[in-house]
Amino acid sequence: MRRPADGRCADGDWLAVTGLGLRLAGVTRPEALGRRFGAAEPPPPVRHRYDAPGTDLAPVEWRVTAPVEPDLPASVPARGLRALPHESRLALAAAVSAEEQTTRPVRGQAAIPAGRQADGPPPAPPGAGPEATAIASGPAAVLWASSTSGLAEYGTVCVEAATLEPGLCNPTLGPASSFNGPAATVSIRLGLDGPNETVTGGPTAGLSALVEAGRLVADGAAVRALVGGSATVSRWSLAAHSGHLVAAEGAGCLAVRPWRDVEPGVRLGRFHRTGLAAGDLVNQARDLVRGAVVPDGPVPGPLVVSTPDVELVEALAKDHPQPVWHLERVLGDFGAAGGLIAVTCAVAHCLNSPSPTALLVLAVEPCGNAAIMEVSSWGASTLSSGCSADNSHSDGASGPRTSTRAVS
Amino acid sequence: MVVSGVGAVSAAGLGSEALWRAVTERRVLTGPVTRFDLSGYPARSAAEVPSETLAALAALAALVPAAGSLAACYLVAATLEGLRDAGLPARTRRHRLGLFVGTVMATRPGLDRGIGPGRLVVPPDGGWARPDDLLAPVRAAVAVTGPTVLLAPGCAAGNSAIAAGCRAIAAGEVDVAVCAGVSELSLEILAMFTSLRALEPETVRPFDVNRRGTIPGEGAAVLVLEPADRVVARGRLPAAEVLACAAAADAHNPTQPHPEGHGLVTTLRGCLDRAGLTADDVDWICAHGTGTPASDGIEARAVARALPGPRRPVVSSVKGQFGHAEGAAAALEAVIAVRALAEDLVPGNVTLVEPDPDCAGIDLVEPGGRRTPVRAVLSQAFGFGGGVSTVLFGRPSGATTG
Repeated sequence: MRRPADGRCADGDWLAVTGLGLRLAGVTRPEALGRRFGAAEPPPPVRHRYDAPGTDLAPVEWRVTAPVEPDLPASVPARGLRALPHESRLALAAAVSAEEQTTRPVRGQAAIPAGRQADGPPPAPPGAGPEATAIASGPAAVLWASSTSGLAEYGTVCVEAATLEPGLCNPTLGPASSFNGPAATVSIRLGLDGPNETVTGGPTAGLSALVEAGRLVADGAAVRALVGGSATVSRWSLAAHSGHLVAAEGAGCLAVRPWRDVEPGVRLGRFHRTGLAAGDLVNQARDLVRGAVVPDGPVPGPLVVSTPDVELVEALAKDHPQPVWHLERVLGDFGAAGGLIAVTCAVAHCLNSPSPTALLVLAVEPCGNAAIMEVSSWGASTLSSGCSADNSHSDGASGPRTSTRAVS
Repeated sequence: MVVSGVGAVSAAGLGSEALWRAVTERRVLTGPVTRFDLSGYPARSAAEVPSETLAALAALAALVPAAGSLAACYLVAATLEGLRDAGLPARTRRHRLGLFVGTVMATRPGLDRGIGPGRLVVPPDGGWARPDDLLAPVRAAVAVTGPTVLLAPGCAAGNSAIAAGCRAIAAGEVDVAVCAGVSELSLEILAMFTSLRALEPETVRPFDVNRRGTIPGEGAAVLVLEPADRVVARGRLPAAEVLACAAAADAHNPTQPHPEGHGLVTTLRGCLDRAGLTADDVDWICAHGTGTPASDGIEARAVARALPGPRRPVVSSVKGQFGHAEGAAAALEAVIAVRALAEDLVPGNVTLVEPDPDCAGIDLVEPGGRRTPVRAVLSQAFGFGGGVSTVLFGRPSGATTG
């Protein structure tokens, strides 16, 4: 994945997208997400009131795309779900949706039951539901991007530490007050025992989660991965929120595995992560996008950008030949999950467009941390599990239907 | 790839030399907390970065956003030391330098400074809700021309950062990977562990039959990683080699390790497989060893199961001396592992009095440590959520036993 000297994206190990799970405001299916980006204007946000009792934080009303209900599939065992933080339930719901597309048997094939290798702990308990099936024998990684996970729980522990006697804080809150709740929940609930990582920070975190997943499956640490991002809105998260953006709640998850040469479907590929000079962000971001376009390659479609910098997006839109979609304007600000949600938007666009289609996804933070990734379809506008935009199996795919079984 | 430089801020003070000296002098650095009012708490100890070190770091405060983050100061100091140790300039844009940082709570401890009688006075700038503020100072002090990745997978964070840096170098994405773990002592953590009844009031005693819990710590540590040929071309000697990294998840419970240590067994075997080594080739296991009753026993059994053989590595935990520094713990232990390889000294279980029969399957190092050739070290870490990450360090190629 060495970066070519001219600054173009590196040719990396491509990832095939086998599942897409969404829990966004008014959007749980790829075709709805595609329509949202094609619309002239985003739906107006609603105003909600948030408070933090026991603190000097005044209640605020904020423009949000929230709340979003997890709407967990019935297949998920209900035991213990209510004790999970809201963001972990959103993450689990998106992950289960992505996993179910991945594990749904393609016609004529049976899904392979999950279960750890010999000498490992037992597989998921009987009756755990469809989420407990897996396509490939071997570890599955979970990588998640979030900057809000655990924040409300952290704040609540602080309030209880101030208002209760020492030792009387709710013991379930503390362990849920760090960033890794969503990744841990997905791993524990789905029995996924591969590498488990959480990336936080700004919107590049979501793209980094995909990059790290690609490397983990490329070097054999995992045979596949669930890569997601999530965000929740609370009085705590709003304390750090930019007033010019709508705060967003929701989750997205992509199931990925190594792409096999010439197989049809949506794939994630070349990327470039870099540190831009904060004082020259517009010019360097523009160069980053230009460098990502492959000479003689497919004409790139819309550019999907995740950044809190509205002026940067407007500057990029002036010379990009295709539409520039600003995630934060259309769907709201997801913090660290922004880059990942932007990629899910690009995947949805590929599913809704004739193949081949190619898009670039760019994430830029005001400090200069930046990442860009290409998303494209090849041979068929379906996921590599055979699922199309409406989540049903496509009958119109050109080329051979891809097996969901692992490469032997 | 190799370790070309190290840096640390710890309860031992400023610098990796102070850290290693505390190891060799067997100093126990946990003690009464001075930063918070813990009157009324049943356990009131921590391993704090000393006040004189905080004073020395005050010059870095100008780089830190308004509400201040001690963790951010620790990270800058450790990073600058690591780059100096590697002989690399901090501000050049002539190489591709990536920043890979592991944390548990990032800037959130800024919030619990407002815990007072009867209510929470929330610091107004909101930096405690912006995890990327943790990295702003280091980005101001160092030209980060490659990716910046902030990992928060739980208490294995430092090893996760090292592994991500290794992957970036192996992929040719960066020339230099600054890999760090960082943590700031937090009243929220103390309140949480108190409610979980997992705090030890006096001394952390990993693997001891009378262990009662852990004590929080803090600090930052950095490994600077580069391809070996790049270091040699500068006329410098690598400090150690990263032989392998492996990660897994217990997929079991949010707060309890898998009873058989599934994830840990997987990563220990994974590291050896990737490096083409056996248990006989490893001399020291730098254990996670938090001193909590359940976790140490599970860890001991997992190590015994994963690394059988006639000459299995000896095991010790430095958390008896430094407490559990959470996001910084694995990175601090990685720096200690690098020094152990260079100095041929296996640190002891300094606070161990009576080994737990439940840990009889492993060879625990005596409190005084062991002067012996050290060729390879496995450094393992895990935490809430079930994530496990292990790194295998070795002597740099060409190095001989001292």
